[in-house]
Amino acid sequence: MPLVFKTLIPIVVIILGTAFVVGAYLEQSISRSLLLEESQSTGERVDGAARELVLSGALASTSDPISHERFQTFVDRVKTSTTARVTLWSPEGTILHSDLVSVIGVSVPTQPHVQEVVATRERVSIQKDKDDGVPVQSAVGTFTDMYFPITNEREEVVAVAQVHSVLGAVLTPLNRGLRDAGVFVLLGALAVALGITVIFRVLILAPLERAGALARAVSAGDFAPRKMPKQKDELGELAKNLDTMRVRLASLVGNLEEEVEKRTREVREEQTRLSASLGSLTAGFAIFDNRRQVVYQNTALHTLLELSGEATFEVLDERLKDIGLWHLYDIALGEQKSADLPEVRLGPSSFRLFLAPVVMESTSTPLGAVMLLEDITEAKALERAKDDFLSIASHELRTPLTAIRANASLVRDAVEKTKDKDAVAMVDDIHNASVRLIKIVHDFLEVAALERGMPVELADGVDMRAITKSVIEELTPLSIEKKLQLSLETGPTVLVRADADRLKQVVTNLVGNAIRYTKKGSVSISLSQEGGSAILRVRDTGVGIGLQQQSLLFKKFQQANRGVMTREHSEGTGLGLYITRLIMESMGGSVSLEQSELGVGSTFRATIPVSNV
Amino acid sequence: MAKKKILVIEDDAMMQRIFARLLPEKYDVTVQKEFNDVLGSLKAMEEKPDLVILDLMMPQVGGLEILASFAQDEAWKKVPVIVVTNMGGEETGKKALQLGAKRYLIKSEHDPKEIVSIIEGLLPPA
Repeated sequence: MPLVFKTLIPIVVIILGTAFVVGAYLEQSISRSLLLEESQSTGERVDGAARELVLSGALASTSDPISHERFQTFVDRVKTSTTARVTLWSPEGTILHSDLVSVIGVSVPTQPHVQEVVATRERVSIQKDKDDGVPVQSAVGTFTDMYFPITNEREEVVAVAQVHSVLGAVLTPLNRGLRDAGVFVLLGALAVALGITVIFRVLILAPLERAGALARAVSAGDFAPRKMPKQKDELGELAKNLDTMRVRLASLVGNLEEEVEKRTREVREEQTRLSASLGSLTAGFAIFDNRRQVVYQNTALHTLLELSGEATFEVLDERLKDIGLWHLYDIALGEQKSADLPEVRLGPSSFRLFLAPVVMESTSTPLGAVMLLEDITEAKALERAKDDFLSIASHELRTPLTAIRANASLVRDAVEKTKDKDAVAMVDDIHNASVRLIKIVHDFLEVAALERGMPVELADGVDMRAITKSVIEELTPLSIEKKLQLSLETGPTVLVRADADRLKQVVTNLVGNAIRYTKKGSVSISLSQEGGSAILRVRDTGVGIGLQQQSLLFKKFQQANRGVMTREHSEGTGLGLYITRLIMESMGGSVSLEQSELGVGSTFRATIPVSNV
Repeated sequence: MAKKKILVIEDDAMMQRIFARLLPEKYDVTVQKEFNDVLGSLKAMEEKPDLVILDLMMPQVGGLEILASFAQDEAWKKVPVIVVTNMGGEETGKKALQLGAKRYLIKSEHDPKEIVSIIEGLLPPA
């Protein structure tokens, strides 16, 4: 209900109610006082008229009726209005005279009021709604019945005067007055109510409405300025504050919108960039969510798997048949493990497949997975071709080299017999040269095999000391030739986990290098155990290795020429240490230059894991 | 005492010569000549040799296949085979040994004298 009625109605009700109550009260008291006055004035008149009557002797004897003229004089003195009725009673209850002619002489001995007056000698005034017993001509409305005692000189009640008047005559003006007043009050109430309403509307409602309209507009997103009430009171204050709020919100929203637009643009740019990058990948790329839905797939994937359009997880799984994409996906998401399948055959092609989970770092919940599919068909073919090439090439190289070596060896015996030292030397040179060439071919093949990462067979309980001793035995002749000291420090053996043959190869390489690059002095080997590894140290007093050379030592094709170019130093393929390194690494160990100083010597160090048993 | 028979299955002429020179006269060395149907020819051989020197790289039928066929043959199974080849490396070597070869040698990496001593080591005692 609008505020107007909520205020209007109570006001009207209150005013009317008050008016009614007040009016009723007023009517009561006014009529009572009027009655009283009426009674008093009538009483005075009756007294006066009664004295006259008594003096006239009309009431001296009870047998003589009162003359009409006497009565009329009495009545005229008493009555003020024509609607009053006067009746004279004898103390015994007989009607001596009355306005109502017909009741003259009637005897009502038990008229209570008359008896009361006779007994008490007091006047009695009764307000009645209806006359009981005595029929009255105008029996409507309120009237008064007053009984006055008339006494003689001896104070004896000789008669009772009954004045019966209908108060209507007296009260009617009162009622009418009150009624008129009531109407005025009603009109007044309405006027007041209206006035209050108007004031209320103007001062409170209208400004409130405008403030409300502003609030509504602002919450709907309309920040346009509106006319606000400017009154200097609480409402004006409210209006001012609301307007300030509007302005602030407007600027805030404006900024926010700008900010959001900027960010959206940035994100979209980022997305486009990402999409372009992913799209331009030559590898197939797909992103899955955690419900086996494909969120993104690039064109390369379609090309590689010969997909005609957007593929679902099921389609991808079907294309990648034997891989069990579902299983890999489940493991990725469930155990957060990536899958890397180095070679997956699909018809004539080979692929490398990589599947990794995407995890929300903060909560470790899996968000999905990414899949990378790389076509390695060509690469594989190339590898195979390389292997084949190496195989064939090495074979092709070895065949003539074998002829040279074998025949040189055989011829030497014959030439020796001729005692031609030069000839023998020449044949030896041919032989040695062929041996070196053969070693080079061998090294190439070995590097190829190692680089391919062939599986190594490791055994526990390999005796490191025994292997080292065996190598020393084999290389002792060479050390004697060069007049070098070759020794192994005493100590316990260490059992390692390794491929014995390959380990021997490594030790041979290290010790052989040490001998080769030492002009005089010694090559000392030590074997120890540190933590979970066996450490082999080969210390020589050779030429040493310069800093620059040190960084190239274990790289492919780098001559470990140790900074000095001489014939003996330029031997080898440059693969020796590289092969050594690959072998050690394939067995879970390592090889390094522990320290070296030009002109002083070098120490090489090889580590290999200790045996498990 | 009859000379021990050694069969050289090698198609390269130069290598054939080398083997002939390599192997001292105390052995009866035969060089396989038939290479069009080497398997058939081998199967047909009545008298099996005491030792086979087998190359791997050969026309039509490779050495490994010959090894495999030896393993299937009752008579040939008993004959020791040395694979003397220039082909391959460790892998091929392992394969050859798995197929029944007694030794695997890279030709070029051994001087003739070494090869001879290895051969002699493999010959069944007289």
